[in-house]
Amino acid sequence: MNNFNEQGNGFLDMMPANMMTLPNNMFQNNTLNPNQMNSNMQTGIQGNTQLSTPQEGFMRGNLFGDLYQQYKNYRPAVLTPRNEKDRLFLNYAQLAFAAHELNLYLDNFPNDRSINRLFNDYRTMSNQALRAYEEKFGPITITSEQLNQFPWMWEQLNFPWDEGGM
Amino acid sequence: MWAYQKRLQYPINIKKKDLRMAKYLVTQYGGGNGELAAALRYLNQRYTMPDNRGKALLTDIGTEELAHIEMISTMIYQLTKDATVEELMEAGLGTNYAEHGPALFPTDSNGVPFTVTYFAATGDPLADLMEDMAAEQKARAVYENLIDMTNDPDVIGPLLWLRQREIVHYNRFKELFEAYQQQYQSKIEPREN
Repeated sequence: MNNFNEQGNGFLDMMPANMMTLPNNMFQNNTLNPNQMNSNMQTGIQGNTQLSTPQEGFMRGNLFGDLYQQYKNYRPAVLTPRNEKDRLFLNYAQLAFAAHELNLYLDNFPNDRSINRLFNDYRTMSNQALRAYEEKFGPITITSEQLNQFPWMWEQLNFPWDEGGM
Repeated sequence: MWAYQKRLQYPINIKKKDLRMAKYLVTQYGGGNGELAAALRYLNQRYTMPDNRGKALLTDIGTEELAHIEMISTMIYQLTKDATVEELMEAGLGTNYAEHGPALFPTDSNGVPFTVTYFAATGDPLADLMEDMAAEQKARAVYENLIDMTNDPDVIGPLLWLRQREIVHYNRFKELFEAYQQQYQSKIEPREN
């Protein structure tokens, strides 16, 4: 018997997307085209940069629609939160991933004003999402306010490779 | 310096023990095209990048590779959890058990231990970035080989995800390579004999 549904011991249910029915316009409807966002690129990325939403990008492991290459007929796994802990964790992981993707892009194209703005939006949202998770389910970072309690909280929650860890 | 986040970059929750898959997968930990080699390659090469673009990109991708080491290690740990010695021997992991007991150890699929000779550093940004591009392509190919060898969705999901990261990193390195090629190669005077 699994006990994954228990609050505090949850995890994300992973199911390959090709075992589920996905609306096939899911991606198109969720894209932002930075080329239509008053882009100010000086170093000239080769057009057509289609950015997915943090949710779609995180599912795929790739925020850039024009860089995405499907392998054979495999579709990305769909991550389904089973409880509040999963939901808050997934929300943070998605936003942190989106900010990280734009971070790597901006390293190469530091003068792209619209991506810079989007990075800062995701960075802000990601920080908020991290605080929201930590307030309810304990510290992910050693700088968390949730460590301001006794006894030592850092080692009480499971590590990521163990059951119940994130 | 670095700060640890007590989470995986992408969630891993493998419920089925699969020792043979663990034996294959370990190459993305300690093999020539694995995540440990990637992290050390970029974090070592970054000091001699010609400007802050290169220093930033190699630092940030190298840092992400550390998170991928943790993902691969987690997968190996979960695939082998609670295996008996007999099961390990049967799956060809007896030699690993003899050397390391239940511990993880960075080797390739053949059990050959990790070595820094898997990566290079020439001090030439174009040569180093071209190596980095090749490394990402080789890691992508190995992820595809590994996906071909399992039908466990809990394993395939993270492997597909990591494969996409290789594609993104390859393209970031390629963009930088092309920028440096324009910027620096045109300025190099032919050497007089």
